[in-house]
Amino acid sequence: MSFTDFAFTRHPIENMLVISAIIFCAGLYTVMTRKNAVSILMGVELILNAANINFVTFSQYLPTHGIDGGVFSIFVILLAAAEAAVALAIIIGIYQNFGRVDVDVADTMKE
Amino acid sequence: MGTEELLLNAVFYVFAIGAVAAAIGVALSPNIIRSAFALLGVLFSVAALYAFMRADFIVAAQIIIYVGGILVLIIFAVMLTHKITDVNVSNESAHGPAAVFAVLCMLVSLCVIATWMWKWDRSAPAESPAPAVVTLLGDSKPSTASVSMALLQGDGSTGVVPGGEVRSPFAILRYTVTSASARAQSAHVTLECSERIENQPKPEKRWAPWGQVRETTLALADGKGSAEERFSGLKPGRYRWIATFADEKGILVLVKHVCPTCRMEGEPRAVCSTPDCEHKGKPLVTQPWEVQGAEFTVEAGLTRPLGVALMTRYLLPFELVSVLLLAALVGAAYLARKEVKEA
Repeated sequence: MSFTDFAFTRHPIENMLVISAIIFCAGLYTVMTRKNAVSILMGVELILNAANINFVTFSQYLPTHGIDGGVFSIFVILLAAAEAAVALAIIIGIYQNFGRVDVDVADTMKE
Repeated sequence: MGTEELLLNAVFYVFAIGAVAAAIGVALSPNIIRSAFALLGVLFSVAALYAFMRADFIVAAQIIIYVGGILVLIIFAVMLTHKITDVNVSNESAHGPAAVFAVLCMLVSLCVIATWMWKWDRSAPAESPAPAVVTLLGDSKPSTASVSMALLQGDGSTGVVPGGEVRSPFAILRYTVTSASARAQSAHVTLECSERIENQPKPEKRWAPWGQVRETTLALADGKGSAEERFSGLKPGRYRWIATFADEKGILVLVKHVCPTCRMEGEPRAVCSTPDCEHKGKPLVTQPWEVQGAEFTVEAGLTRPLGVALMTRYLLPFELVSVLLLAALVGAAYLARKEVKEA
């Protein structure tokens, strides 16, 4: 095992997948541990980015299906934009009603 | 490993470690503003990774939409809803189980990657990929076959990008430069062809089934440079494809199916359907397909194939996404507006 066995230029897919796995897990951890709604949104963005890296990697290095992966990554970016807009509007709404943006304050529907 | 490759790897690892470190920063930083700026680092580094994969349009989309749009929104939300001094917002009790779960996820994904490792790109190129679109222009009837090929690897292997329709018995799945002498004007090329008609009762021997390998010679139109340097990465430009196809004896032929009298072309095993042709109703004849001198252009980048895909195959999803974006815009404006109290 030498450095060449792990070099990006020799094994690009594995390198990209490992990066994306780490980013995904960081996003997962963020989503699970944070109380602040904006932080949770950041975790979701990390997860979406990790998925996007996988799409682009397979699309660019194994294009048996052409550029479908690239198209999907564009869709994911657009959906992330829509999701962020709506989520932040909801967060602003929570802030107006409760004075905080912690997700555990917005449980009034339980009562 | 040459200096150039070493440098490429070094720069790649700078961005890779940057992305990973910033992602961990987002996850662990107790200060939400620091988290937001770490997220900026992640998004920029991921854009750099896309650039390494030569997905140029996605780099632009990532920077414009994520960094310019989403991140600014998030930072706005942080600033609007948060007191800068109040930093301790995380849920301490859940950290242990969450960390265990995230590490488990990590291990599972690494195991999956390790299982598949070395299987994807055993003959990995010495360069990162150069996605380029090769469009067969053709001076004769290859013009009916507008074949788009995306250059998959630096060694010249390609895959076909959907969008190019091949009205021929063959689709060229990929080609590999097997030998190219340094000074030669042509390269010996292995073509992997596929037949478009499946389950044929008696496949004609001249047609390659899926994955069968054919060999041909590619030469340069302008005669500049050696084939080795030109075909290892096909720079954008116009090329002439001088194809010598051979059959089982060594001469490969790209065939087409025509009526001997009225020259109507059609699918394999089709019959002539020209109204006043004397061969009407009789099967078409297989003929060698003249592709000598067919030209093709090479375009670098993903922008054009992406645009073509979004406007053809993905038109409906594309329109739905635009409607969704509009709905999200209206919904966000509705949600965030302040109730006007009546006096």
